[in-house]
Amino acid sequence: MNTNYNDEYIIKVTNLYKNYGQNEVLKGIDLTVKKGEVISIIGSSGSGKSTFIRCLNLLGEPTAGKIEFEGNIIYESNTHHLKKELEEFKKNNSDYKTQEKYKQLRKELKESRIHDFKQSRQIDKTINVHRQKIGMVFQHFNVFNNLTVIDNITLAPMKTKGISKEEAEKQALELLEKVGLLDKAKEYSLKLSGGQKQRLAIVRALAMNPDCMLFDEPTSALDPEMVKEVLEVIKRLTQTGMTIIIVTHEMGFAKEISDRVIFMDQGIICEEGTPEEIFNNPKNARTKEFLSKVL
Amino acid sequence: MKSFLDKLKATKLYVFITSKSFRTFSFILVIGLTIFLLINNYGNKEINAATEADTFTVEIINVNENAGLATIAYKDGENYIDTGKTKLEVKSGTKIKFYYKDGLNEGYNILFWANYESNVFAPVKDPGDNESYYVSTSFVKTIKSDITLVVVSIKETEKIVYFYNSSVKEHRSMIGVDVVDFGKDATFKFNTPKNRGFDFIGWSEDLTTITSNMEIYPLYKSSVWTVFRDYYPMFFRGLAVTLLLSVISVFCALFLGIILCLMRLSKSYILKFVAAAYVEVIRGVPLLLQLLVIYIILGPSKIHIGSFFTTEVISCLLALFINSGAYSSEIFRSGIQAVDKGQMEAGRALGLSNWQVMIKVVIPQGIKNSLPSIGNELVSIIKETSLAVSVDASIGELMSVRKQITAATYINLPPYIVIAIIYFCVTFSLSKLIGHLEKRLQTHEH
Ligand SMILES: Nc1ncnc2c1ncn2[C@@H]1O[C@H](COP(=O)(O)OP(=O)(O)O)[C@@H](O)[C@H]1O
Ligand SMILES: [Mg+2]
Repeated sequence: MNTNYNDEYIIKVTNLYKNYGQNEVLKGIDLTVKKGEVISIIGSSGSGKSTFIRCLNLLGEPTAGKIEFEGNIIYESNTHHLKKELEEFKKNNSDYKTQEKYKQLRKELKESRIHDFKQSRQIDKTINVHRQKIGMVFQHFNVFNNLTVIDNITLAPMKTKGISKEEAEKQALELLEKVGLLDKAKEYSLKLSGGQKQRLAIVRALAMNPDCMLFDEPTSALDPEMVKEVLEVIKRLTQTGMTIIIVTHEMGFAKEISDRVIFMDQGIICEEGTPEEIFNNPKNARTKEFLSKVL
Repeated sequence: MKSFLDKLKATKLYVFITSKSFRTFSFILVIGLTIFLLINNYGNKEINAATEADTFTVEIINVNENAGLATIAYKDGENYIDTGKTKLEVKSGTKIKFYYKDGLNEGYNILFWANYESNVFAPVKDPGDNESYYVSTSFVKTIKSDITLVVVSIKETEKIVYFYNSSVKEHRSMIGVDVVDFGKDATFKFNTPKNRGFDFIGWSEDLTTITSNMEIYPLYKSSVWTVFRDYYPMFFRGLAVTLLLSVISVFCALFLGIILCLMRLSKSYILKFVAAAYVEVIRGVPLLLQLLVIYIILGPSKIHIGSFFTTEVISCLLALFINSGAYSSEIFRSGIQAVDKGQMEAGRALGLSNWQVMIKVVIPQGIKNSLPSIGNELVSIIKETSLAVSVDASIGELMSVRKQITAATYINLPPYIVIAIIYFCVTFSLSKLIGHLEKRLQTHEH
């Protein structure tokens, strides 16, 4: 499976589409993430940033496109495009029934549907292996409310990797110490403050030794005084060489940590470039408009 | 002065008294007391009615199921002379009022009854004999703890008689000695608990032969309070059975509920369908019907475990279990669905499988969400066990205590009221407790 993986990129997204019913949220996104790269995604609310980042570990199922992770195709579907093409073809050719291309398209569509069906049956099993390598941190922390801090961290490593309890706890305590939560280890996560919860959520993801981390607005739900402690943890993480994709509204922070900044609007990537390019010298009119509002 | 008021307002008692729950509680208490007093009054009135000077009452108490037409007669020499009460529609509890009329106001030595058709007269018999109408005379007036008997059935005048309170020799004790005359009041004080109710008043002239022609239906001072005072062990035993049935069935139903709930949340359409069908059918059919059906199915098997878990009890438990299982599964389902979707997402994002997250994270939280509703389910099951009487009163839960008390005292309403009050106290305080725990659960979360 790993044959065409040349270590250059860790995630490769090709022509990704996502619809919610009739609502087209992602309209063809291409993105290649290099190993160790830190990418910030910015954009106005409702532009599809969360939808996109959730497609990367298939928490949200795309409608069409291709997602590769470390050389493995974790999702691929053409059905949506083929359907559109077929409809277009029908519209443009009144005698479409006799044409060879029509038959060809129908055959492809059928095959594609079969592929989708097989994939959907496989995905729920195979994706777990990939997800173990893709850490994710959510806007609303989503710490496990019924578990203590330490159990939050050890649950997944113990269940998925068969690590012993002692080992998992040892690792968890080390990680907790790094983010200053050691004294909270035995507390219920419910009792933590927002900032502490988010730090816990980060540690929980890191305990799986992921190859990359996804952050979806990790500080948006925090009180201002807690933003800093979380950003501090993320910043330190960038220094370890971790591959990171972060959706954020903290422009200063994005500028500081990113290798690449992506501006999304209405389901497409409008502009991407280095922080300097995007923040100091935006080319796209919509980027300019957005930045003028938030900066 | 002002500072005193401020101090007063700061006290816990003041806060408690002015709190909304206390006001609600007092309101309910006042309403309850009013009803209680009204009922009490009602009880007394009934007794007063029996003391009308020129009447006495005969009650029919032991007619087997089918009511019939009867004739009440007395014997004069060899002849049965009807008392004017012929072709009477009698059933258990029928009261017949006799008036002292010319020529008849001597009372009756022994009353006889006959089926109207057969006209074969038989003397009234002891209450133990199920085969006969048990006709008893009552002559009662109650003044607080004293009971006054109007003696009507003694032909001879001016005689010393000894009165006894039971037809059963071992239980019998003398309750009074009096010089009686026809129509004279004989007053007895019943102070000891033992003498409170009685099934019989016999009299004797010579302390040896007790004549039972003065059999009296135990006229019981039927107020809610006295019923409770005299029968509280029965009520509490009934309550204990009720609580035991409820707790056992709800506890077992929790497991059924969780299993059903998991079936409904699973991906298999067959499991989903089976669970959904079960839940909908059980919720759509009256519990009473389920109870009867199960009793009919289990009845002949005569299975029992120990002396308490008879076939009837097991049927009742099973029906409550089946019924409550369906409701609990819905409770769990809504509890689980109320768990933040983010919990599942976070678990899946870590690479855990759907079931792993379910079992370790979502279900525990869902169950915690469900706890208050499960408590309320217990409250409603406590009330629903009352349906068990319709299967068999021998189960002995709270509601069936009424039957036992009525059988002993021939009063209906006061025991019902006592039972209502007990149900209310238990369920009301339980729901308040649950509400309190719910609040505490919530404050722990935020
Ligand atoms: N679960 C959903 N069902 C339907 N529409 C959704 C759902 N989630 C998001 N959307 C829609 O997708 C669009 C993009 O949402 P989102 O990706 O959350 O934007 P962002 O994170 O950039 O603010 C929005 O218009 C939103 O209404
Ligand atoms: Mg978002």
